[in-house]
Amino acid sequence: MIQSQDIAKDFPILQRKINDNKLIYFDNAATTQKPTHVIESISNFYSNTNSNIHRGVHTLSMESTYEYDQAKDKVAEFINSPNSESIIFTRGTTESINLVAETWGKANLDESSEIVITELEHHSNIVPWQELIKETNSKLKYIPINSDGTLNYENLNQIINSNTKIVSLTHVSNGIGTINNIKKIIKEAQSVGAITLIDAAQSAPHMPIDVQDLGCDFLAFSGHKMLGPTGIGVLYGKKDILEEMPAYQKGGDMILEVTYEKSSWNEVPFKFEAGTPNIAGAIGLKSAIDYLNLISMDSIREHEKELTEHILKEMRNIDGIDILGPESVEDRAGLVSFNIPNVHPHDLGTYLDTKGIAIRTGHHCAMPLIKKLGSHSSARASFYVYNTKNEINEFVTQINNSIKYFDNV
Amino acid sequence: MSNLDDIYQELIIDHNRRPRNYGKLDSSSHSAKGHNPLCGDEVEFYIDINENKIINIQFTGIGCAISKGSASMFTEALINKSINEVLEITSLFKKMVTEKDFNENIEKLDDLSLLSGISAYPARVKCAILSSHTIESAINNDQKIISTE
Repeated sequence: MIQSQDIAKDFPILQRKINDNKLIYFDNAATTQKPTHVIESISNFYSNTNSNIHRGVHTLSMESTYEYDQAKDKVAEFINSPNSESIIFTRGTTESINLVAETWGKANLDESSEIVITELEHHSNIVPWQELIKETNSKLKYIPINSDGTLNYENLNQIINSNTKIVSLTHVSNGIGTINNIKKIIKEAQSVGAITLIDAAQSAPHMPIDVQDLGCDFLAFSGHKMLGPTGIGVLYGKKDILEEMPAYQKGGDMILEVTYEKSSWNEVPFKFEAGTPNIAGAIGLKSAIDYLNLISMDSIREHEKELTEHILKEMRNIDGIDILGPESVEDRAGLVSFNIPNVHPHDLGTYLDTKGIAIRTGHHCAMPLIKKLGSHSSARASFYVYNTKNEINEFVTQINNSIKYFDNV
Repeated sequence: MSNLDDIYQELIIDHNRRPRNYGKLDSSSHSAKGHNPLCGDEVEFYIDINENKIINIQFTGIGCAISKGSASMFTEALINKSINEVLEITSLFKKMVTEKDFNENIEKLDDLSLLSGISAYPARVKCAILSSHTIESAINNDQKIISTE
């Protein structure tokens, strides 16, 4: 059992008061707060080690290179990648998905190809494919959802067929919290020889991930959603696939040899990391992983399950509440998306803010999903290691207060 | 952010709960749709203009208390006003909710002046401004869907 009250002490921002109330931060699916450990690792880097990597012979450059490479090894270990060359640092999940669409996609798709995604996706796993099909004349197909927001696996072998070249799907829905059975879908994709990409932005921070066990070809996630800094993310790719792929951006660090006539590309993963990378970001991400490992990913998942079970139980007592997504906490990450009658999510968000509670309101960058579920928007509370049952109790109390407020003003 | 009541004045909440002039107008000379893609708010205004004067105005839509409440208040404020007066009101209203140091005379805005507190809530200005944009579009017969983005 996680001692979240003690953990919260490691996060300076959680000591802050918002509108005279102690901050309750329930917007973790958008971004997470940073422990002192991570903040100091970045500040230490700039105070003591800062230099460019991979090209200097001086001490600072060698130290920076060492730390950057260590960060890559740490990420590889975190998702059980068989090697560090499979780890590409990007700006975040969005760039990771775009990288695959731009390089692998353009090189491998034509008018006979089909791309399969699901109705649960974040815009970042819809829009790159919508653009790609225009350029390659390929088709985009969706695995549908049931009314409870779980994927409908019934016609999987028709949707994923011999024309399918890539299946790209989210592990956990950022909009409603559904945990997908990605192993089943990866197996189906493999049976027709299709490539798989897993959007792990909402899962890698919250549960153990093992890319070898999953068998996916690509996996993408973001540092800032797992206690790390913004602007650093990861694309994992199987090495043999990465080696066949064309380069992404072109420039410094990604080249082997440049003449005035032509250039040849550096080895994987450097051919996908043009220009000076986000060195401080990578070091911050490494510290975040160290911190998460101290708690253990298994315990984090258990903690969030407990919080989710608690909040679902409490919220089901609210008259007329509509909770989106699966009922069982086994199928749901630490996230609750909901609507209450007569209080619009935006008004609820503003009300809760005056009580120091931060939640997300709107369509959560999953517009088609929220529409499909019959809403225009929803309120979303999402949890992490530092959240407690007491915070949830306060949250539910304030929701009830808001209902009275907007009824009686 | 200081006091919730600065933004949710009693009358605004009342307009949200019991919107005035709500529903489609069968015979309207002008109409326009507005949309706030960020939060999903939608509003449509139906305006009947005769001899340069609004003789009837109604709206439909879904949204938060600020967007729905302000739409309802606009219908009351603009009825029987000349087009020039209407455009003066919508432009004054937009200034009031967006400008920090706004200190013009807001008598003309009547009840709409209760929304002045919004200027302190940058995240909610779009909710308030959707109706005024949409009404202007209807009057100008732009034939395009207004978006706050």
